[in-house]
Amino acid sequence: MSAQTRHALAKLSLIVLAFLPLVATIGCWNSREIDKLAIVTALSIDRADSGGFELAFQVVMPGGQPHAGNSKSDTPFTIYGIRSRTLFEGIRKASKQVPRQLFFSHVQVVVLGEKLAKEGIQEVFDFFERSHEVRLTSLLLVARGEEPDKLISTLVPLERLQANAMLGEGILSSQLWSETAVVEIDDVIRKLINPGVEPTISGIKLIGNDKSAGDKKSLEQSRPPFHLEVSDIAMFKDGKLTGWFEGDAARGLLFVTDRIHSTIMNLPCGDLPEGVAMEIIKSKTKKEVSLKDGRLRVNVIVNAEGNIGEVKCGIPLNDLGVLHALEREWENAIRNNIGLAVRKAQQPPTDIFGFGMIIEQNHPKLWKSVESRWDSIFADAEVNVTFHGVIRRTGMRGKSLIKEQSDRQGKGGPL
Amino acid sequence: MRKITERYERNKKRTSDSDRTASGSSRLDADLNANLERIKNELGTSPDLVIRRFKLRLKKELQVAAVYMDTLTDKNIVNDFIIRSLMSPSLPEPPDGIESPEGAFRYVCDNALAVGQIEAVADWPTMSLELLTGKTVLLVDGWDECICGNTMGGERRAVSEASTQIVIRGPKDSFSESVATNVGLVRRRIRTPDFAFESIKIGSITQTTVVMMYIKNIAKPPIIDEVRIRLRKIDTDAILESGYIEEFIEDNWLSPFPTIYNTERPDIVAANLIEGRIAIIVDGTPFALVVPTVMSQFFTAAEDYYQRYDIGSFIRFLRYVAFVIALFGPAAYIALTTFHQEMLPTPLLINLSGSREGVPFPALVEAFLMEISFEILREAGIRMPRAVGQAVSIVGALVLGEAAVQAGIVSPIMVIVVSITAIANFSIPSYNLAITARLLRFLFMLAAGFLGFYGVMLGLIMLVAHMNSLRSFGVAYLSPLVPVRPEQWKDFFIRLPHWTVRSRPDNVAERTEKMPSGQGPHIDSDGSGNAGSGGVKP
Repeated sequence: MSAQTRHALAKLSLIVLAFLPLVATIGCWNSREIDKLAIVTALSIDRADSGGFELAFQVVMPGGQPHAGNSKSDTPFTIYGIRSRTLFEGIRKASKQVPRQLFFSHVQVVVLGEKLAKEGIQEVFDFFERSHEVRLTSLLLVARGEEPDKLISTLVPLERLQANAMLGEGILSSQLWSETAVVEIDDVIRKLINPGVEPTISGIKLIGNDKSAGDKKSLEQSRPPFHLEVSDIAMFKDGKLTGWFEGDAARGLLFVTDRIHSTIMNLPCGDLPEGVAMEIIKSKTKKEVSLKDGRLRVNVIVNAEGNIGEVKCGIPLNDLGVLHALEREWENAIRNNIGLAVRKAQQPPTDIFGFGMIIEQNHPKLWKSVESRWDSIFADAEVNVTFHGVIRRTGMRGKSLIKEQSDRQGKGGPL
Repeated sequence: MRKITERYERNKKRTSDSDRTASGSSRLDADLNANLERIKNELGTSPDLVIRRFKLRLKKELQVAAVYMDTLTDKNIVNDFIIRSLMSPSLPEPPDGIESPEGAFRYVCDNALAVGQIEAVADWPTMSLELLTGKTVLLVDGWDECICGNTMGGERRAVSEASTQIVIRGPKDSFSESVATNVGLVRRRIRTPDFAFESIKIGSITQTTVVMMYIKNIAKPPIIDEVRIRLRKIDTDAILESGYIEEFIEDNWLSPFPTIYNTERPDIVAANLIEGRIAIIVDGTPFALVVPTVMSQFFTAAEDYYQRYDIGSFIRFLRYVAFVIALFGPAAYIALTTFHQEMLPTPLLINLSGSREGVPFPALVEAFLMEISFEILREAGIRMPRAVGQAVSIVGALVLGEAAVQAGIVSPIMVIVVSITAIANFSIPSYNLAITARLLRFLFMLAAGFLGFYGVMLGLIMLVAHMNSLRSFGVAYLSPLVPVRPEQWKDFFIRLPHWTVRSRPDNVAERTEKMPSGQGPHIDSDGSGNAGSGGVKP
C-alpha cells in the first residue's frame, strides 16, 4: 500500500468518524410513521358551559377510505370530543381517548361555535399562530344555530371525508354564488389585529332533521334527511359576534369588499319583479374614502360585467335601449344590496369594509386623530355607489321563446 | 500435506537436473535441435504446440523447423505461405548460390516467405512471446536467429450486435475480443492519417496487448502523455479485462462514481476520438475505455445523435430525470411518510395512510426490505442459467409483488416506489453509473430515515461537493456545468442540431473548430426555407 493510498484511506475514515456521532445523536428526530398518526381534518371549538373550551376533532379512519381492494364499509371518520381550559391542553388531553398522535397539518376546516363567537374568538387564535403544525390557511366557519361538534360529525353524501364537503361547499359557493366568502384563519387574525377593519366569517348550518346526522344509515337513503349548508356571514366587533349578514346584505358586503367572483342577480322586467336572471361574470370594486369635517364619505366604484342567463318576459334583447335599461336595473339592485350591507354594518357600528384601514394607509396622521372616535364616524358614514355595468352576452337565444309565442298570438311583448 | 510436499521436493530435484542443459542463455542457440529441445521443455506439455521439421530445398542438407501454436494461428497461412513456399519446387535458386546457414536465413527472410509481416528475432524471450501470440517461428539449423511470421488467427468470435448498448437506429456492430478486429472497426470509421495508435504490452504473465488510440492535432498532448505515463506505470501480472486497466489508471479510487467511460460500440469510440478523447482497447475484451470522461457522457446514448435532435433531446433529458428518481425515489418516500406528512396533499396522505394500515414495519425497514429483495432478484436474473429464468420472474412478480402486499408485509405504494425506482435505474444507458445510483440510493434512504428531507439535503450537498472534486485526467467531472461553460451546453442536457455544435469541448480537445465554414441549416436558394441562425451566406 502506497503512502498516497494510506493517506486517502485515513482521510476517508476520518470523514466517516466525524459523521458517525452525528447519526447517533440525532436519533430519529421528529420521525413519525404515517400509520401512527391520527389525521385531523376538521376541528370544532366552542365555549363550554363551565367556561373552558369544548373541542371536537374529526379524525380520518384510514380503513374507511375508498381505495383499491378495500371493500370494508367502516365509517370514514370518527369524532373525539374533549373539554379543556386551553386548546393545547385539550389536544394533549385527547391522547387519553385517541390511540394515535393527533396530527393537525391537514386541518381543512375549523368550525367555531356561536356561543364562543358571541363571547369572543381572539383567545382561540394564539394557538393557531404559535403552533408549527396547524395551517393558517384552513377554512374558518361559524356554526349557526347548532353545536359545532354536531356539524363536523355529520355524514354527507358524495364526499367520504366530511371536511372536504364543507371545504368544497365553501369554495364553490363563494365562486358561483358569492353570498359567502372563503375566510381563512390568517385573514381573521390580520383583521383582528388591525384596528381599521373588523373580521367576517362565513356561517355553516344544518338543514333538515338533525337527529340522524351522525348515523350512517341516513346516507343509505337517496334523499338524506339533512344537508350541510354554507350560508350567511358573521360580523365580529372586537372579536365578538354582533350580527349575521344574509342574502342580499351578504352579497352587498362582498361587493364592497371586492370578493364577488360570480353570482346571479334577479332583475325586474316589465311587471315581473324578478323576470331576468343576470349572471355576473366579473366584478371589481374600488373604494374612495374621504374624511371632511368629521364626516366620512365613501365612494364605492363597482365595475362589473354580466351575461343575461334567463328571461321570463319577452323583452327584445337585440335592442340596445333595452339592454341599457337592464343595466340601470342592475345598478339599482347593486345599490340596494350595498345599502343593506352598510346599514347592517352601522348597527352596531362595525367597520367590516375596512374603510378605516384605507384612511390609515393614505392619511396615517388623520387616522391617529380619529381612531378613538371611529365607531361614531363609521356609524354616520355616507356611502355612495358608482356603478359601471356592461352586459356582454345574452346567451345562445336571441328572441325569447315567450316573445315568439306572444307574437304568434298577435299580442306583442309586454315591454 | 507433508507427504505431498516431500514428494514435490524430490521430483523438483530430479527435473531440475535435466533442465539445466536447456535453460540459461537468453539468446537462441545456433543448433536447431538444442533450440527445439528448449522450446519443448518450456512449452512441451502444451497440446497445441506444433513443430514441423523439414529440409530446405535450396540447400538439401539444411534442417529447418517451423514452430507454431496450433490454436493461436491461422493454419491456412502457416500451410500455404510458410511451409509450402519453402518446400515449393518453384522457389528460385539465388543466382550466386547459398554458402552458409546465414545466407540461407537471409535469403528465406527476403525472398521466400509470402507473409505480410516478418521479423528476425535473436532474443529467446521475444521469440517465445511471439510464439505465444500466434506467430510462426522459423528456425534454421546453424544460425542463431529465427524468423517470426505473423500468422495470428485461430478461434475468435465474429463481430456481432452490441449486447449492452443497444440502438434502434444506428450501426449494429460491436467490438469483439480481438484487439486487431476492434482497432479495425474504429479505423474503418476514421480515415485520417492523423489517427495514431500506441501499443504496449501490460501484465507480466498475460502480456496483454493494450492499444491507445487518439487523433493527433485534436487530442490534447498533455492528456495523451498522462494516459501513456499511467499505462506504462501499471505493474501487474495479469490484465484480463479493461476493468483491470480502469482501476489502475482512474483518478479517484474511493469515489463511487466511474471516472472512465467504457463502451462496446465502435461508433461511440470513433465519436469520442473525434471529440479529442483517447480510447484504450484491451485485447481479450469487447469493452474499450474512453478518457477523459465527464459525467454527462454516461447519460448519452449513441442514438441521441442518430435520431432527430428534438427526440434525442427529450430522451436524454428523460434520462437525467430517471437518474434523480433512481437516486431519490425511496428516500423521498421515506422522508415524506415519516417526517413531512404535511407536505403531501390531504387526499394522498389519507390514501397512503390507508395503504400503510397494518404494515408491521417502519417505512425505512419496509423500503430496505423491498429494495434489497429487488437487488437480489436482479442479480439472480443476470447470473442465472437461461433455463431457470422464468422461475425467477414468477417468484419475483408473485412473491415480492402480489403476495407481500396481500400478506400485509409491505404496502402497495412501496411496491410502486420500488418498481418506479427500478425502471428509472434501467433507463440510465450506462451500466456502471446505474450501479452507482443503486449504491447511493441506500445511503440516501438511511439519511431520509434518520433525518427526513433535511438528511437527504445534507447527503445531496456532500454528494455534489464530492462530484465537484472529481477529475478525470485533469478534466472536471461535472464540466461543462462546473466550471460553467455555456457554449458547451448545446450538447449536454439536451442535444441541439448538429450544425449548432460547431466546436469540440475545449477542456478536452486541442483543436476545437469543427465546422470552419460556419455550416448552418439547409436554406432553399430562393430563400423561402426557414432561416435559422448562421445560414450559408449567398
